[in-house]
Amino acid sequence: MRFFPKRLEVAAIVLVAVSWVSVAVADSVISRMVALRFHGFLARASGGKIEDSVRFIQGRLRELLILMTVALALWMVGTRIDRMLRRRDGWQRARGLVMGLVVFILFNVFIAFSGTTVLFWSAFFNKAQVDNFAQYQIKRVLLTEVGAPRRAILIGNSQTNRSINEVLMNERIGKRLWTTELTQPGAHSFDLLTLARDMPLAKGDIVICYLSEVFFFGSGRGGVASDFFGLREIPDLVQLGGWDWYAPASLRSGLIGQVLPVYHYRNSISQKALGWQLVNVGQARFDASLEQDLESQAERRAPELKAGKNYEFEKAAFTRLVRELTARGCVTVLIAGHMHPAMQRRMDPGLRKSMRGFLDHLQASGGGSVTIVDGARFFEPAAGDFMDLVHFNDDSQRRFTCKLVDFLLSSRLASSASSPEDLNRHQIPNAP
Amino acid sequence: MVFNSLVFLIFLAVVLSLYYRLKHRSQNIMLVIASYVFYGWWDWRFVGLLLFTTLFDYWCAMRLEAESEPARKKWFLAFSMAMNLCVIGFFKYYNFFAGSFEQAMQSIGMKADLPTLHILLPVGISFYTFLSMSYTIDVYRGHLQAVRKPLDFMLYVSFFPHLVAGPIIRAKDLLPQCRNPRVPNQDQIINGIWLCLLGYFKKVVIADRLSPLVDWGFSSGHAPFHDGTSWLVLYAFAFQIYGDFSGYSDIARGLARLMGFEFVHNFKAPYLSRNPAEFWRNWHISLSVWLRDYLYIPLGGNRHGTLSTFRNLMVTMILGGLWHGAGLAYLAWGLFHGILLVVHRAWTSLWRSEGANGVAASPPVISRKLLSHLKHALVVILFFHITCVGWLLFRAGSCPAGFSQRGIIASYLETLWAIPTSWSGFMWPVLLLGSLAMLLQWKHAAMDSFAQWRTHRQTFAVAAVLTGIASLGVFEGSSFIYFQF
Repeated sequence: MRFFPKRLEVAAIVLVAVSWVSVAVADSVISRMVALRFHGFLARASGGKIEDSVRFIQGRLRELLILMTVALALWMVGTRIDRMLRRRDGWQRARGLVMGLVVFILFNVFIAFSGTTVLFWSAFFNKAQVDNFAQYQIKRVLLTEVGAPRRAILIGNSQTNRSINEVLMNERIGKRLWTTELTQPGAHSFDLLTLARDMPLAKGDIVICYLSEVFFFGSGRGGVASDFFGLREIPDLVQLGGWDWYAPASLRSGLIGQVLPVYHYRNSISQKALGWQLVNVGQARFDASLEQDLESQAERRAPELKAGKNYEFEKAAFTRLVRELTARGCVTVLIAGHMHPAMQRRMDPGLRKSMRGFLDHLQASGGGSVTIVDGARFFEPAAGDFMDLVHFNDDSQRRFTCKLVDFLLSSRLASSASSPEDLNRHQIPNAP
Repeated sequence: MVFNSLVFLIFLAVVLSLYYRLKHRSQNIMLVIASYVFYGWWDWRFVGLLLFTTLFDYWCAMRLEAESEPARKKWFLAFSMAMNLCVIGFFKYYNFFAGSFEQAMQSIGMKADLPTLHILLPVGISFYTFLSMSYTIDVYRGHLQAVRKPLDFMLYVSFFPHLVAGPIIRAKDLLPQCRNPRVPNQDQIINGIWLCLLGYFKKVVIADRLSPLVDWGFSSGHAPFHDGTSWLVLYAFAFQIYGDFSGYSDIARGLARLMGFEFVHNFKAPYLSRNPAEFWRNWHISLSVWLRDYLYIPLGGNRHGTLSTFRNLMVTMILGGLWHGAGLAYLAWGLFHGILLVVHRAWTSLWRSEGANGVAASPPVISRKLLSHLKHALVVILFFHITCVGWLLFRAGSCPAGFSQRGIIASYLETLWAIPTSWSGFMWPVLLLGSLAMLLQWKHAAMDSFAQWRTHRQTFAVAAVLTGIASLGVFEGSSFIYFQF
């Protein structure tokens, strides 16, 4: 029996060709029709994160065509290899094994292409139980389809995510400045450097990052690297002196992921196939093991924040990140934020001073493209504003976001005509 | 060095590339060196222990064969047994017995201060000691000639695929393969690769995916569950331990085949068994056979009447339980299976005698077949649940120190009999992975003859297993459960 019957191959080629012609001729008409039919559903499903539904459908149609073409091309490659193996006598016994490996490789190539599409990642989207990786990938692709005059990109760790609400920002100023949140929980400086290189940033984009001491002085690197670390990052990691701060297993995992997309996307696939609960039971167990009392939790965790050699690495990596963002024509807004007062009280006060000093230095050397905003001037957080030691609760997130919106509006950054220097000329509003 | 680590894959690539280039004697020398490197990777200090056990039994067997006087033969056998049991007893059971003795003395108001030593358990000690012991016993019984070349015997004991977690291969099966030249044919290599892939799939997808759920279920403050989670955790452990151990055995057999060796089956379809006797013919077969041949039968087997048979079964299973580890939970697990075997044997003999006397009206052929299938399925399901209760005892044995094993067992037993009012979110993944485990058991015979499959099936299976490993596997370097035994 043949793996790939000839007739099926011809039919597939015809189908793909007809699809391409149809889309080339009636792309916008089809998109409008589909958007009209599914506008409500898209708005509900995306929670207000899709800016323009017609443009969204157009993008997906194009993705569908690209994936169909890639699938067809890979199919044809598989057919040729199979025919070649049939002709070689010595390979007859092992043909099934070899073809299994070939199919696995071709499938990985297909997944590599799929990984750049929203269509693929939509299959992993789950509003109730968020898959950070899938959400990140979807938003990263959609960032290229934003039609607003300017774009703001939220980067950083979960603190940025819990402090700034992108949906609220888009409700307020989305017409002028469209915000996309591309944070990764547990990210540190070098992780942001890796992530930012992968982001489709353009000249004039505003990159906003919420930073606190836990970002620079905290431990626990590796979670992001195991998903995003690649070959091109090796020289940087060596040069910046960060080799010792990452577990080899997470770097290895990142590197394997670069050549095996199925492995790269394993967390999302596992969550989809086996359920969120099973895949995250270890994390849930860890969360449950934490002390409920934040004071005692702070007592244990505050001394863990130290300015050792890792801080030098963090500073070097962050400096390079800001330099690369500036080189790409982006404006960087760094918000020097806070943690829970219990943590703040117990922490070495020198850390904050050191962090502020570093940020001020970045601003001074940034040539007007870097602005430091003291989070406390927007919003002086109290113990009741936090859901744990480092993250705002929903109400304080909303208040903080509103203040940030006011700031961006009054700084005229939300208008397309503004320049990076506008931001620095602006007086930061005082907290109420 | 564990099979599911990157360093092992590099090690294997080096070993195989050398192996295919060398001649028979050189192959054996290289394999012995590689096996000692493999073992020493955990803790080089125990390499000496492995070497000592090997050379000691080699010497004992030589002396046994050389002796013509039965009394002296017996003496040498006893010497070999005593030494092996002392080694395993010291490393594995000393602390348990010292602690238990102290507790017993305290309960009668006496104080006994036995030193508790911080003894590290050499990986796989139970496996290679049993392997070595079987050799001397077989030489004593005259079933086997003592090996002349120490290199062959060293390879037999230390061959890395079976060294740390079995299968416990009998000398009569493996020694000739060590002695004679091996040239793996194409089918053997293809089957070997497939078995390795299948083993990795069972380990990283089935076992390691279920492992966090089991750890969570047996950690403090969770049980008792009232939503069916108790059963789900026990199912999860049943499939985890199957995936872990049979996965290891598959990899071991696959690796052996890649080098032209053939290992015995260690697992068939244990969870499709209808009774405890069938279960032990399908689960950890090499240990069951070892216990049968070197313990149960020497004790008298079933030759001296019913009560004696029951006693022999109980003793065998209790010692089998203790072989897994020093702890009351393992003892209870052995006892549990001993009771199951005794009850099953009693029931079978009763059924047989009744069946001989009474003549039941036979139903029509079709319904008889249907009824028989239905009955078979129900009995399999029932016995699987009984096995799961046994696993509860077993798993409680590996709870971290400071946990009340009795408390955990009691809290589970409390909820196992209650009808769940709802099902937890773990149901789907446990059923999915469990179904995969069941499918692999159902098709276990076919899994062994991959080279005979049709090409398109081979292609689909290889692609599916590779995709499953890459996309659903856990790669955080977890060890195999049976390494601790």
